[in-house]
Amino acid sequence: MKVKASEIIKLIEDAQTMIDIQKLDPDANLRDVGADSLDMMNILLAIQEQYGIEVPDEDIDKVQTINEICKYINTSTDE
Amino acid sequence: MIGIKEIASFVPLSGHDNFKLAQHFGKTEEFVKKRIGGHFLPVMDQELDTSDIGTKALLNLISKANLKREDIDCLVVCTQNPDGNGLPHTSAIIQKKAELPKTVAAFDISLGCSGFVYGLNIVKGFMHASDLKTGILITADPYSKIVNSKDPNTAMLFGDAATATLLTSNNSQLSLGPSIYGTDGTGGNALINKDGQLYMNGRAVFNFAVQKVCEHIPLLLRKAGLLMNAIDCYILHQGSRYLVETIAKRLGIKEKVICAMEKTGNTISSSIPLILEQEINNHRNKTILISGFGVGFSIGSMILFRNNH
Repeated sequence: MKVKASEIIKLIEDAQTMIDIQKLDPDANLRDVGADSLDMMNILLAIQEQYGIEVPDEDIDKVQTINEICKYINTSTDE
Repeated sequence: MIGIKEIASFVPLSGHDNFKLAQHFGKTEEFVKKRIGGHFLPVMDQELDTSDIGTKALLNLISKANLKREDIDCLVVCTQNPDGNGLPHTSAIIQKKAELPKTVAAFDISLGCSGFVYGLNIVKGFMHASDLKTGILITADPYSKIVNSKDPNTAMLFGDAATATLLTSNNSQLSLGPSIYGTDGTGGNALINKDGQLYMNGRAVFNFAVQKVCEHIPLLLRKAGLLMNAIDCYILHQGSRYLVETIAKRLGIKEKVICAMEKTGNTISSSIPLILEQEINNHRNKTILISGFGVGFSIGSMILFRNNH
C-alpha cells in the first residue's frame, strides 16, 4: 500500500512543529515553510515510529518535501 | 522514612549570553527562546574545579538548612567531570574543602542527566543499610570543561551549576516513591567525551529521550497505581526547551510540565534539583514526578510524595 501525501501531512500536524500546515505544498521544502533542524528530527522520528523506517543521517537530504518523504517510504517498503 | 528535606544550589554568575552565541552561529533569537531554552549559560571561573562548585552548593545547603557539619553521615557526588581524572574522588575533595567530619562516608557516582534520580535512591539505600540519619547528594557536572566552543550543537546548550540535596531519616518534606530505571548502551557513542572534548549526536539523543521518556512515565504511573492526572507537577531533565515541550505534548501533560532553563541552560544532573529547589516549598505540588535521561543512554524516573507533618 502506497503512502499518500495526506498521511504525511497529518503526521506532521500531529508532531506539532512550526510548519504552517495550511500553506503546506507537497513539493515545498519543509525548511522553507517553517521547519528547522529540530522539527526535521521530530518529523523523522514520527516517520520511523509510524512506518518502521529509519532514515539515516546521510539520507536526510532526500526527504525534504512531502512528496520526497512519500517516495522514500514507498521505495523503502517496496524493497 | 528517608526523604528530601532541603535543596540548595550554586549557579555561577559569569557565563555566556546565548543570544550573542546565536548571532555568532547564524541562529535567530527565536531559536534560542523557543528551541534551546537557555538564554544565559553560566560558566564557572577557570580557576575553579568541579569540587569547588559542589562545595559552594553544599555550603549554601548547610546555611539554608541550619545543618551542623558533625551531623552529616554521608556525601555522594554525582559527576562525570570530576576533579583531575577522578583520582581522588571528588567527594573526598569536597569533604576536605567543606570541613566535614572525617567520619563521613563519601563516594562518587558516574551518571549524567539521569544521575539525580539514581542518586536519590543510592543515598537512601546506603543510609538505610548503614542506619544513617543524614545524607547529602551533590550534583556537579560542569560541561564547560569539555564543551567545544566552536561546535554549535553543544556550545549553545550547556550551563554549569551544582546542587546539594539533604536527605534525612525524619522530618523530610518529600518521600521517595516508586521509581524505574533503564539503560541502552548501544547509544553510548551519541554523547561522549572524546580526547577531552564533548561530542553529541543530537538526533540520536532526541530520539532516545522522546521515545523512552514517553514509554517510561506511563510505566512508572502503572507501577505506582496512579493516573496521569494524579501527578501535580512533572519535572523532566531540561535537555532543551524543544525536547521538554515535545515530550510534554506527546504525553498530553503540557500544563503540568515545568520548563525553567532560561538562566541556566542544560545543567546535566543538576537540572531536576534546580527546579525542585524552587518547588520544594510549593505545597500545591503534593505529588511530583521526576525523570532524568541522557548520556549512556540512561534513564531514571521517580514519584515524590509530599509528607504531611
